[in-house]
Amino acid sequence: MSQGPPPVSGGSGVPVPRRAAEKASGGVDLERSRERRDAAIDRARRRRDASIERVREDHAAAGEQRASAAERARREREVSLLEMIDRLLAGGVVIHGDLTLAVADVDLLYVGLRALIASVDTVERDLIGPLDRPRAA
Amino acid sequence: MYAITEAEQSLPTLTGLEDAPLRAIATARLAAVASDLAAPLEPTEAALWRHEGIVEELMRRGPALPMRFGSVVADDAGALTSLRDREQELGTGLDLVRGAVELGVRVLWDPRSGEELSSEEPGPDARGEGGPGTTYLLQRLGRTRRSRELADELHAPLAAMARQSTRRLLVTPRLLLSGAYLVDDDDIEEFRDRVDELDEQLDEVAIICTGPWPPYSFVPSGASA
Repeated sequence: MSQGPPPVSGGSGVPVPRRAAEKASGGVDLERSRERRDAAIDRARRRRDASIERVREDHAAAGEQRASAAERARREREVSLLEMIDRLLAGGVVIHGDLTLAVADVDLLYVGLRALIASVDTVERDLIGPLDRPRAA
Repeated sequence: MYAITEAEQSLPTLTGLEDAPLRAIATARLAAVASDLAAPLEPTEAALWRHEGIVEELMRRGPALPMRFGSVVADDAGALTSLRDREQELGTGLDLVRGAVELGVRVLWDPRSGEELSSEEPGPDARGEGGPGTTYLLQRLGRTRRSRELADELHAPLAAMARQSTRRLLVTPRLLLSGAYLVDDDDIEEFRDRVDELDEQLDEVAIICTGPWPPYSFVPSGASA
């Protein structure tokens, strides 16, 4: 079941999966694979932060002028927060039965947080509805 | 409840909400990682981060299906019922996310993109009908057309690198694309590189890629969720 992604074409600029051969050989030591996973996640986390920081201040789409360091830091935090909230409240496994956090509470939370992160463009969308169901790649 | 894992999954030493210890409520196959609550759950920012931190730590230890924040059951029996009722579905869900993480991509654009395009080059049907109403409609048409093209250009190569993906278009005027991608641990960096390339190739957009996240967007939906 745990099937890898479809092969990526080796066209211009598209990286070929580096570990394809390794994956095919199978039988990777569990401990090693966990360490590698942790390392990969750590690297990607650092890059996530860098990426958010890199949001271009002068970009017309963002409709923003030059941003101060403090402004950038604030925005970076807002993006992380927004992404997190989006997932925790609209994603995840939903169980049936005694949900004590009523839908009304969740709505209130969104509204409250909306004030906090009003400058982030995507909040309106979060108020609109839950995530699409995944489609197979 | 924070997440569903395999029954043999070890627990982190983190504490849950209200600083209560984590514990596993397990069937033969699955475990719900949970902690006891004394008071009604308050959805504060700190509580949300606590939930997120626990799920991230579980994800490091093995496959984990994050629960939506606010998933509270009356007692262990309630949790066990939830697990048993959906054992097959949740087990399959764990297999799907094994060794993978979720990456989020948000693409911002200038909603005026594509307007000039269509007013200079109107479609054959619209030719010869001036007027501000027509211009407006043409602008809207151009915008819609360009947004679809751009979203496809961005989403298709990323989706091809993912096990599964979701996408939503233009939920707000400036948010061209909001996508989630379930990516193999080993492919995270390649995925990020691809995002960077697309960001450089397409001047019209600014791309924000976040993650790795627990696979909140790739959990079984349940029959009537």
